[in-house]
Amino acid sequence: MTITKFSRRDFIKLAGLTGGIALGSRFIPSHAAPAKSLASASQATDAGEWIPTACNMCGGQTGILVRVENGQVMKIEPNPDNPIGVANISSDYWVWKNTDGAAMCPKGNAGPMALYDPDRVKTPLKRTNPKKGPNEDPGWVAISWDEALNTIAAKLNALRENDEAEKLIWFCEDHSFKDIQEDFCKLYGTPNFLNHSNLCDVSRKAAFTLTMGDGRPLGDFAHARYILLFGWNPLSATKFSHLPRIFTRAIENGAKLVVVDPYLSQTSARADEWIPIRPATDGALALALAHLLIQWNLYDHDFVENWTTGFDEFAAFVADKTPEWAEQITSVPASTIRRMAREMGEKRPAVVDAWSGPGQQSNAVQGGRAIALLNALLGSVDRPGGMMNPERNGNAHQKAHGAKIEKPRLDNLSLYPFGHSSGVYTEALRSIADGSAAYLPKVGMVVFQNLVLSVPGTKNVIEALKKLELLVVVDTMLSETAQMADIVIPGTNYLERYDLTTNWVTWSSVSLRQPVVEPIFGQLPEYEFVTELGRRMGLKDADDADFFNIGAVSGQPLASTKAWYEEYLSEQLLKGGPKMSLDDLKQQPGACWVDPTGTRYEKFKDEVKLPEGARVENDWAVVFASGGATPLGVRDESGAAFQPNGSPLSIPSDAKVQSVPQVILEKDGKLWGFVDAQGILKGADGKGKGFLHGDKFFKGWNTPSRLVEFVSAQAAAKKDRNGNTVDALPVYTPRDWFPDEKYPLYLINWKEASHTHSRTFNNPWLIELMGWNRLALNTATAERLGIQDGDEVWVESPYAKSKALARVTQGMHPEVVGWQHGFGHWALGHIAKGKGTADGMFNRTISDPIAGMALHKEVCVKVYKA
Amino acid sequence: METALARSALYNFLAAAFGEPPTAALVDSARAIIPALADAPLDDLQREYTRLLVGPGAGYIPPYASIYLHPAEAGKALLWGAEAARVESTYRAAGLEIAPGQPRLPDHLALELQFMQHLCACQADAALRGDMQEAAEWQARQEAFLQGHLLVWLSRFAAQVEQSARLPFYPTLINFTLDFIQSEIENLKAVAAL
Repeated sequence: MTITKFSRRDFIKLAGLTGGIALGSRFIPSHAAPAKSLASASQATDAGEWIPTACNMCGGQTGILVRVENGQVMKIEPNPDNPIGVANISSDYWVWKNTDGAAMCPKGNAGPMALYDPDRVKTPLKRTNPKKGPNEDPGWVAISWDEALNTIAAKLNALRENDEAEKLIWFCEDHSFKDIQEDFCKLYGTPNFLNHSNLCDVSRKAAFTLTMGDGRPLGDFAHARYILLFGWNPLSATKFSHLPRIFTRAIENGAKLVVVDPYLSQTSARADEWIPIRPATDGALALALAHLLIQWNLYDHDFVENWTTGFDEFAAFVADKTPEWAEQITSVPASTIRRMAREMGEKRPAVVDAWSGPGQQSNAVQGGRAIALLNALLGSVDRPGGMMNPERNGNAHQKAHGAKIEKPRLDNLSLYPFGHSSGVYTEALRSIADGSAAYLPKVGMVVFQNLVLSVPGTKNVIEALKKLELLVVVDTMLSETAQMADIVIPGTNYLERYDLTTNWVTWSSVSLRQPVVEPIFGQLPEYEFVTELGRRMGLKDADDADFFNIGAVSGQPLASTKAWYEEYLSEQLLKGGPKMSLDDLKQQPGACWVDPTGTRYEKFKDEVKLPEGARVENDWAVVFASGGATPLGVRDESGAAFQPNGSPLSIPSDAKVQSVPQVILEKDGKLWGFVDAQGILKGADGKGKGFLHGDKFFKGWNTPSRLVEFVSAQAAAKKDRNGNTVDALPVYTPRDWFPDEKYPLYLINWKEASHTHSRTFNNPWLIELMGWNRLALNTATAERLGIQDGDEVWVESPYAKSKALARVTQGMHPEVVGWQHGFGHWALGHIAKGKGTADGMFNRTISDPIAGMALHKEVCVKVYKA
Repeated sequence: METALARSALYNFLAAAFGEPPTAALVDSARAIIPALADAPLDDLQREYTRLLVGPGAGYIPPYASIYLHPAEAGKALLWGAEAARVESTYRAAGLEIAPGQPRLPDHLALELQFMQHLCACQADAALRGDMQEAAEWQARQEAFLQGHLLVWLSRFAAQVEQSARLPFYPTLINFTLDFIQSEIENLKAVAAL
């Protein structure tokens, strides 16, 4: 290469040719005066500070302290002023935070690597190649924020003006800036707002809700003496960082840990006993354990008699669910089942929990109920060492007031009898792909979700995304889903943004995720992107209020989208448990509000007191609208009717008038509640508040009977997605897809602490920790197939075939092969690309018919040497 | 002074060329300055700019100094390495900080070129006021920044851009920048020695 030398005279000539091209200045004068000379030009750094915030490398949201020096994140440490990362029971938390400090996981430590990943999306991008697919180069062109926002706003407004608002389908993460996206969809008028949970644990939610009235119970493992886990790996799960310590403490205190799992997970490896089981048969094992606990009279009589319903029917139902019956189904020897039942019955308190192993199977809800009910037999519900009903008096999302949306949802959520508000990704995407959807959406908005790698049935997902006229993906990385987009919006890393985080401990707390550094590419955080979009579209709420401009606390228009969002969060805090503003939360130790009341056991025994001066009427009736459960009002013995506020009511002709044992009025005559014929205390809104037990009202659980339900009347009243009646009892039904001659092996997948879902695979530290998902198969199986450790093999299902590397191990059920989820990227980043095998392509795009849980683990394959 | 102003304008042009998608006006100016620059349709150039300098994805060559100066394993370097912090303190010492809402990374090529533009403008301003001592100070800062930092990483970056490019536009522009900076250093030394 020849070097051209320019003289100073050349510079003047060349400068004249620049044509005045200039970049707007990205600098402003510094607050500090410039150093007088080079010699005194200080290279000094500021002292730096530790800023408390909450992790979001996964949904576990551990409290963290971030070291920031000169605007740069240097390192991350755990935050002992946040219970997430310390303990899930308050009495432990207040001791351990001082004796042990807090914990965080490898992903949390690797957070700065995600923040400073060169492969992040830095500016809005527009696709120029109309062809979409894994092998198409999108032909990205960098565009301005204005162009991106205006393009999206114009398209969305055009749909809406054409009365097609439902043709926007929106997918988002469930713990990050979800509320504002939900509000946007509501005000825009689309019913198609979906979020991540139905890819995760909605079958567990349904199972525990049906039995003990709580979708996210948490085990008090530290105080248990016997712990039985089904398909869960808490010592090395994606979340939560305090679990390894909790389990370690339990073991130190003499607890026995038993893990049921086809795979020898890190938890199984450290357990007293690993019980390898055939996938999706966990419910049958639980029923046999119930059978023995009842037969041997090892159940908690007092609890069962006073606090549960349907026991006799359940006992009769499990009378023939013998260990031998279960052995046939599960492959677990009857003698082992007997020993398990004996030990769990005698070593109290005993606790039983299950997560995604049995949860991502077509029979997950009923199996989950069978597992959950073991806690009822053991008297381990909301008691020390049992499954706790957490208190969640956290931040309170004040939902935007939008017009009623009449159009049906694309995912047919209402046909899943115990579906979750997060919707059903699989049904939405499959029906778009195969054209069976009630209508085709035109615009897709995907925020912080990699649908292509995370939803089972990769081909279907890609086909569905191809059918959208405009696909917008908001993400920090160019994921496989972003590669399908028309417009990509750069997302923020969790160290650059706000969120309020709660859950995951048994008493109320709210911690703050706050920007410890400004977004490093100058990008809008996701919530400001949504706010700005709402502003440009002129979205109003049902009261014609300028929702995205008016501050929720001040009631004043706010020019800054950041300031507007800070008030949005403040309102949630002021109206929720903390009763403080965002600024006040920032001042709390560790930027975390912790309810000083702490964990309360046996909340079901809380007495529900009538208001002072209440009047109880025994000869009155409650008036319901036809088909409704919320009272229109009440009727007195003379036939006069009143609305709940005490003013007169004229009873509609089709109303249902029901005599009830008690109508309870406040002293000023307003309706406070009533007791129905079943002895359930209900509020003026018709919702359960408690139940009559002796001469007192107790809170009980949030189930229709206010008791723990062995038999579920609400289940029996419903049909599942396939039109089959849902069993009132937790009946074991074989899953739909079994191994056959052609595809003789079960294929399972799992997650580990080394990675989150499919999104951390470009992180150099984490890929060093776990860089490939080899396919684990049992030694005997491998020998039969002529496969050796490290061999390249083909994995084939009816839907796909792909190569993998074999890992031959004793730690896998002989009928099963499996691997860690999240690998096999063909995009995302230069480190992630080409490592391991993607698992979604082998599946169907379906969910369980009761809760709408995606069936990641219901797959059969054949495996042979490549 | 005249030279300093001219150099300032050139840095400004280069900052725009590496900091924003190409416009028709920018391409015209580039051709005027570098007559040998090969012709290409504007939308191809915009794709090329995005692929090479914005990314991410195949072909992306991050235009950040610390990627090339950070002692990390090949392919694993991060943004905002130690060098970025040093660059930012150099900005501060010269009385500048990054404007709110702008990309915060201190060591992007365009920002570093804009910093050079600022130093040249300050030099010209001091000279106009007749404060030759201050003008010399600004000039010393330029020399230190170019020789101690920009030139060191820019040659490594240029080599990678050359390999990855599909069109000659950006390699030509970067080689021009390299030549320009080499000449700058020689000229600045010569002036300082006078």
